[in-house]
Amino acid sequence: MTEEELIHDWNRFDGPAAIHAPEVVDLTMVEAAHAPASRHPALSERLRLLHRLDELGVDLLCVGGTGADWPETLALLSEICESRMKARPAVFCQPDRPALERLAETSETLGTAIHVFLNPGFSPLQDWKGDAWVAQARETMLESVMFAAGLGLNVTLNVPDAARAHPTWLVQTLGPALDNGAERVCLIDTTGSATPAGTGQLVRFTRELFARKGLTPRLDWFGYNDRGLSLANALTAHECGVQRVHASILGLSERSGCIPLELLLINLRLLGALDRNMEALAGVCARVAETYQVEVLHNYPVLGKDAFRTGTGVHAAAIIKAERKGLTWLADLIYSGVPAAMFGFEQLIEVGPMAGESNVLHWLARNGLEATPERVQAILQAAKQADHVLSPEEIRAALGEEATL
Amino acid sequence: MEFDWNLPDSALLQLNQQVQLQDETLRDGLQRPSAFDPPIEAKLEILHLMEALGIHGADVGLPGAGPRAVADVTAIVNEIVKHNLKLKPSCAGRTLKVDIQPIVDIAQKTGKVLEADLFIGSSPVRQYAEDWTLEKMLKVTEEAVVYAVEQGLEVMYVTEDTIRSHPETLRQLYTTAIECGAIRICLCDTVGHATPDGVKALVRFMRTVVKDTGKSVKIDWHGHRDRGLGLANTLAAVEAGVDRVHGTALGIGERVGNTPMEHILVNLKLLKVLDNDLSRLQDYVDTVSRHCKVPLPHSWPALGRDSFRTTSPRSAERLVELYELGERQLFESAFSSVQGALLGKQPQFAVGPRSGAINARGWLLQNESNLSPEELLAQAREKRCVL
Repeated sequence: MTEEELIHDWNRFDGPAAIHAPEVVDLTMVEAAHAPASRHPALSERLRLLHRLDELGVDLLCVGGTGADWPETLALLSEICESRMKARPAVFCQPDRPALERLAETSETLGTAIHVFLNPGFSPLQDWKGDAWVAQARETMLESVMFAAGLGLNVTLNVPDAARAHPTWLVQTLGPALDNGAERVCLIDTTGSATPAGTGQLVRFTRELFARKGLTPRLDWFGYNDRGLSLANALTAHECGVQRVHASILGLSERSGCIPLELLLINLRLLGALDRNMEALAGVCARVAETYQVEVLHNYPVLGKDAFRTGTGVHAAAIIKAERKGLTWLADLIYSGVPAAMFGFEQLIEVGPMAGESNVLHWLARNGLEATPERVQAILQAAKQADHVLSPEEIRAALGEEATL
Repeated sequence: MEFDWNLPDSALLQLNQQVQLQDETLRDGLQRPSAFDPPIEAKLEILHLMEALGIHGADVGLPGAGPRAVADVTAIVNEIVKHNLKLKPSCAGRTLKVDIQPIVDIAQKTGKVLEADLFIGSSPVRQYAEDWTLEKMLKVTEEAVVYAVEQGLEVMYVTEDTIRSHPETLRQLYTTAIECGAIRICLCDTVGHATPDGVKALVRFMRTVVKDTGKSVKIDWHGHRDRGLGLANTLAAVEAGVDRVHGTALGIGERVGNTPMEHILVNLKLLKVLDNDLSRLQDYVDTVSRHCKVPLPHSWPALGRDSFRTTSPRSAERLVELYELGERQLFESAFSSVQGALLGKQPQFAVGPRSGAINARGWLLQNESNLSPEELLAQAREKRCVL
């Protein structure tokens, strides 16, 4: 009996027949700096971290901007190029001619094309400043797009707050940009307002804008997590035709964070869109957490301490029965939508107030103790009186004089 | 000025104005491996907060788990009766008499009609591990539902792991349960496997199964967040037409947990599907966090410490400008898509090592200090963390 024979996967019931993975832009270096709970690591630490991020096989590593942080950005760009990392280097830039010229020169010096994410310098929520101000801002953006194209830079035009932009605003802003050299656009859900349905409508509308100009739509998506939907929105955006998604490890960013890069990769892997060994993922995420001194909470999907633990009797009994059939994959999947082994983990059975005899038998076997009725009863009694899952020390204490075994 | 790309999704608006909420914090939530099972006084405090938020029902425990569970569930149901709460209580149990009887006993003792949420493992993975045949599962279903209904319980029949179950198995199990008297069915993503597309496909199929029985039976959705999609799946279930969705405070539950109830509430409010008063939402998550000893993450959407805090110079410039102009609504809107006012919160400027003078200026607009923006900024840079 195989996994495919046993599991009826409703996710593939009428979804897309086959999806290919989008390109991924790693924004950890940029976004983690804005997470209020994170510390600001020294440049030397970030240089070391870059190498770990590159292990994940992302397509672009965006490392900073061209403003006051330019010296550090340059050091990080140089590291990517000199170390011949697999990922291509990228930066973000304001609509500023000298900065664009500097990037063109740096690309030449480093011998690698640096990808530029160009901020337009205004957003659809700034219409209150008046028509003249908006017209001037559009003009500045357009000049920068044309200037960057003239320099031969590989530019993506960012559209901040696209998820709340009026369709007319998008037409008036993107239309001239597409006519004047912008080849690629990144739709940004700046305040995390989008739902999957809204994301789909926005992406389809923007694709149509490209198509009306006879251009092949080249779209990126990036979004924040204020409503808890950033990951679902990213997957929807890709399903609707976005070819590249931006994300940050652990979703580190301002407020409630942004698209979590590792969960994006995990979902693409589980959907069959990525065929990649995922065992490095946990180590890289742990390194990011350590570098920025943020905690991976117990209930964080896949990476948290509780992700593959159960103290519930019904669940434990089923896992043990699957193990007895000699099918490791079955035990790994019977009460988990994510196979632990794929990410270098294993299913753990604990003993707590909701435990049954199976949990206790499993614990005793794992610890090389014979499952006598007295031992089983002593542990179960302690578990039922507890208000939490028992620690190994508490279980041993329940066994009384045998605690030293 | 803002355009809401989410609202033209008229299906959501037309179908589900009546969607109800079922709180699983005191049952499934307490199965989180690192949560503490709080004392009864704490459970009652949580219960009243559910009521204050306008949550419709609560699964208050699994009495079959032992004497402590029986005592707690009895006390909770008595509290609901005593205070005439609108919250409808239910209890979980396997499709076994040994789990149903304690629910019957509590219903008789408290004089309250209880909903029994009777679950069976339905996926082929579980069937194979347990060596169950479909015939056996149908027999167990029939015996359990008939017994529970005869004893005066309102039965919600629950198939575990519905999202990985074969359609024909589901059709037979649910049809049997409905014919035996179940008035509600629950589709479960027990293992957090679903994607929104999968949820919609499943709900659409189950609506046809229910329709074919000719009975008026409600459909619930119960999801977990192993892939990080619990909330999106729950909203997809609402969009697909379910009658009730389940969640837990802080998303506590087995493994990485269930759909967070607070995020269901916030999203349904923003989508104008529900109009509940959310002013006690922070109390609700803080209380569960305190009693169950589960930390509230700083970045937890809408309710974490950082959800309405910015240290970023890239955001601060336009925010400070709006704040100084006194444009409160525009300021809140530019800050986050979740309006702080909904939750009694104020967006805050903060100063960190990557902040600019503009952040310090914003902080000084909201706080009193003798320091200049430059001095504040220097302190943050020296400490390499947010002040």
